[in-house]
Amino acid sequence: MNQDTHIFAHEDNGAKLIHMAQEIADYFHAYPQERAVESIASHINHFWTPKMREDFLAAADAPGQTLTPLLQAARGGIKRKKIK
Amino acid sequence: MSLIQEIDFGTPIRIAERTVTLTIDGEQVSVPEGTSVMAAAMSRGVKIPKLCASDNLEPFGSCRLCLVEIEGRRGTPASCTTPAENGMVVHTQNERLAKLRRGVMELYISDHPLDCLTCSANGNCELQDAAGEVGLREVRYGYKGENHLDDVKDESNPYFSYDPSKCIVCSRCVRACEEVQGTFALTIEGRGFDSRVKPGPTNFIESECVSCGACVQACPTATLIEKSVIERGQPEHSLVTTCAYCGVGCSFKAEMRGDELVRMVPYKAGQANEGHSCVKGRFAYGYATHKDRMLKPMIRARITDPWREVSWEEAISHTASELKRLQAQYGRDSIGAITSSRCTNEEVFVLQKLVRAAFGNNNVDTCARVCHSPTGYGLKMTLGTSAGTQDFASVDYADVMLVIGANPTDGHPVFGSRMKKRLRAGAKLIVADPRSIDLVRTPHVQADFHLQLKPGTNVALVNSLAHVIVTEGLVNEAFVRERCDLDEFETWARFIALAQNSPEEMEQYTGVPAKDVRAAARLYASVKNAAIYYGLGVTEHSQGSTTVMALANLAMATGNIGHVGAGVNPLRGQNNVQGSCDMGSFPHELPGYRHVSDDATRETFQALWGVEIDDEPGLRIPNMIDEAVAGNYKGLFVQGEDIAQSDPNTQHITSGLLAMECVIVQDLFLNETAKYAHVFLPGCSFLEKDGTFTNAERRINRVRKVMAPLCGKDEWRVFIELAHAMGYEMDYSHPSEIMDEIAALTPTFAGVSYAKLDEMGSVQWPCNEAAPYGTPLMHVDRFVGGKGHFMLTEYVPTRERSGPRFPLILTTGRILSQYNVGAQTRRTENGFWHKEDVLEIHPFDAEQRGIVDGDLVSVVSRSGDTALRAKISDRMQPGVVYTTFHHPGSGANVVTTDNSDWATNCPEYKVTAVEARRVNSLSTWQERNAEEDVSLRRVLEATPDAAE
Repeated sequence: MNQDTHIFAHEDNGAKLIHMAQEIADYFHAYPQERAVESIASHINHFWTPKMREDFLAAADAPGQTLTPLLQAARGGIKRKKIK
Repeated sequence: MSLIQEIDFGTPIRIAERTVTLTIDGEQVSVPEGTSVMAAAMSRGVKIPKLCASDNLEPFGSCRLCLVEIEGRRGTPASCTTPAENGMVVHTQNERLAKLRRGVMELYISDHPLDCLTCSANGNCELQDAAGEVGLREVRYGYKGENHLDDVKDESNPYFSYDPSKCIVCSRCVRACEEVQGTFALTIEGRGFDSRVKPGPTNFIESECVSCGACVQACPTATLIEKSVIERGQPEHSLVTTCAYCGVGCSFKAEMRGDELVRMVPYKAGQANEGHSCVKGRFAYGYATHKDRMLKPMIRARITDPWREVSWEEAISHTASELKRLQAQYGRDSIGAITSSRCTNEEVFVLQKLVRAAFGNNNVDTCARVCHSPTGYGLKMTLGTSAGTQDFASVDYADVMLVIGANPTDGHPVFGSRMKKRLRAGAKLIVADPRSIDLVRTPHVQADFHLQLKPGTNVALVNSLAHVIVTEGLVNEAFVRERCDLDEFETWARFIALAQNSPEEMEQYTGVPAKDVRAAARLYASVKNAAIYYGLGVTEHSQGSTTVMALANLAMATGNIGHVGAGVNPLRGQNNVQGSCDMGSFPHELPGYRHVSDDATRETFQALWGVEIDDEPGLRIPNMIDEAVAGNYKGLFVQGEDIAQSDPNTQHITSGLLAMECVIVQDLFLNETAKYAHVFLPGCSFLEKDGTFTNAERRINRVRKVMAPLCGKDEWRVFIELAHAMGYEMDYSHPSEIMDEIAALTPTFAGVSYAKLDEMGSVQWPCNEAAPYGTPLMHVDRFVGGKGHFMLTEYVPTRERSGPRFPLILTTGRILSQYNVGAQTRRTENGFWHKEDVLEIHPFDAEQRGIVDGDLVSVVSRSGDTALRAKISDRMQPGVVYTTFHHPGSGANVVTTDNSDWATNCPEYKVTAVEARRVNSLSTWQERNAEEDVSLRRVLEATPDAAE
């Protein structure tokens, strides 16, 4: 069913996830680099579904997309979806 | 079943280390020092006649009925105002005393209507009782003298009547308004014979009265009495239950006649409220039997179809079939549920179990997501557990209160009254709030500091308070060294001492003069007991979690954890926010706040539930909506929640709901979300439930069923049947069995049972082998996780900024008479006080825009626009406007954005950049919403079969 007559310009999911991840990075920015990198990845692993993590990584890989250095450093610690 | 009668000791039972022993009517009695002779006598079951005394009020000594003889003393002192002393020998009854009392009663009765048989208090009147106790047989003065029998009734309040012709001027109502409620709305006007109780120079409804009911409860006659008692007669049986409004969790006696509720009377033995109430819990229960209640299950294929009533069997079978279809078609993770903080622990527990065990995923979240999820995160990271540290009684010992982002007199009125009582006794007060809330200046209370910060700058303010404490040597080093992780403290102290965190630097963001911040910080750090109380003005920000951690840092740095009068105390919005979080409603946590990835925890649940539990977190509410809009999330069960009204960025929420194929709403009413639903399952009011609520102080209170479910089915049974229809078996015959399972699976609840709750009245978790009678104060000798953890809290401004297009900042909140989306309170007489949501705007901003009081004003943000009536108010600071979201047509959340807390996705309701301008019509959204109120709520006329 799609009866949506409400038109609303909205960030696409990938952009939104990158924004959310950046806000997490902004918080941990106050910590020393090593701890900040580990904490950002851990936070995302802790609270985001595997699909959100995959969508984030895909959005981060999109052409033209750049991450801040701290977030870029943290992305390697983000867990990939397990094959079940 | 009978009517619960509570003992009235006449005056408060004092708390004292020493006891005194005296003799009353030949019996030895020992009582705490400071206890009155009257209360000492009552402690041995000797009831001295009284009229002006009540044990929730200080002794007054005006009625002269409680006279006693004390050997060695002259005269006949009033027992209420005479403290018991060692060796005292008291006689409460003899011929002389009886004669004196009869004489007093004669005077009272000579100016009182003799209409006992038709009086609404008949059978429940202390004047009538006292006449019987003193043996009044005649009134020698007659009844024709000057009197007040023709005084005119004041019927202006919707809930109670004031009939001055029955008033004996005992002042109990006046004192209750002062001492218990702290409003000072009532007074005794005139002198001598002309003395009358007055709500100031006006009637009750126009006065300062907040309709808490304390005066009605205090009245010994029918002078002040509930209109429901006048209409229905005196109740004949009662049960103690828990209010279903705010997070204070007041205990009430639900007083019944047959299966009809006559009135709700606050329960003195209730450990959260100790006999006090507010206008919502005391009077606003009419929604439970309102004509808008939907009592039949209904389904429809498309939301544009009219609803069709069906049997419970068909509704559950259809729901299960749809959910299974969606999972087969779109995958296991395409469905989920939202639990409600208005429902019981047991209902929430069973729903999250349904999701994890029958849906086979962790897509369960709770409405706490949009209020206190940052509390859960922030307190767990710092203090080690997701809960407030104190009980409410702790505030009685606070020397300083820091109230930040909370409006207790409106949002948590019963606790607000308790705070005011302590403040009148001399405690100091720091208020941090963009608005001038009532606590800033109210009768006999004035904040020592009102730090009127700009919305969105909480972290900047709390950091600057901490900066002063660290740089001026005000840290409690002994506490920090013994109780906290020292390395983390040192890292934090170096960070917070940076010049960037000083009040002088932060003033540019907060707008709060640095000298006030410095003085407030010194005050907070200078006393033995400093307590922090906070609400949604802290959590509902992009840095909500950061502020919670900053507050915990502040408390730890000053040693204000682990003792009475101190602590970090979240004031929870809804009745069971704490409980719904405890019960495993978050998608990443099983009951007891244990992460789903923890193998040992998961195995415990798997062993008992007989299914495999996903070890990955599920979707949070905002993520569910995003996934729905993206076409990946197709089915949602919404328990007692109205996300289409309460959640931010309404048009995004409704777009998500529209994109789903099966939305199931379980509620009392066809709420806003139900307009987008395909299945409606009728819910039960709190009066129709057995279960428990857990309040803001972790207190687990019993909810008791006083009438059968009007829809014919307990809510928890619905989940069992739905699970069965989906192929998973759950088996309970009573909510007590659900609590037994909670206790078996949750270490902090291990000692909780209905038997214990019945025995103790309530219990505060953790309640287990280590703390069999619960834990009023947390972190007393050590933090739950061992050491307290200081977290760094850098101020990161929200991305929501005011500018030329949107120069004002909108912040939203609640008011006393209404409750959240208003689904309950709008269906009561409380509507009298708040007929519509308005936009509060500062006179300067209004004048700049040519806006006058009452103008229709368009409020436009980056998300959308709506139109509200303007209310010019100097409670606002220039540049900040305020509104509530109690009425769905207001569309307050059409304007709010989907910005959210970085850690938890709790929406940033408190900061939205807007512009306001005069208009002469409603917004397009409001007009469409009004049309959809009709078109999406049609119900087919019930056929005889469906109605059965």
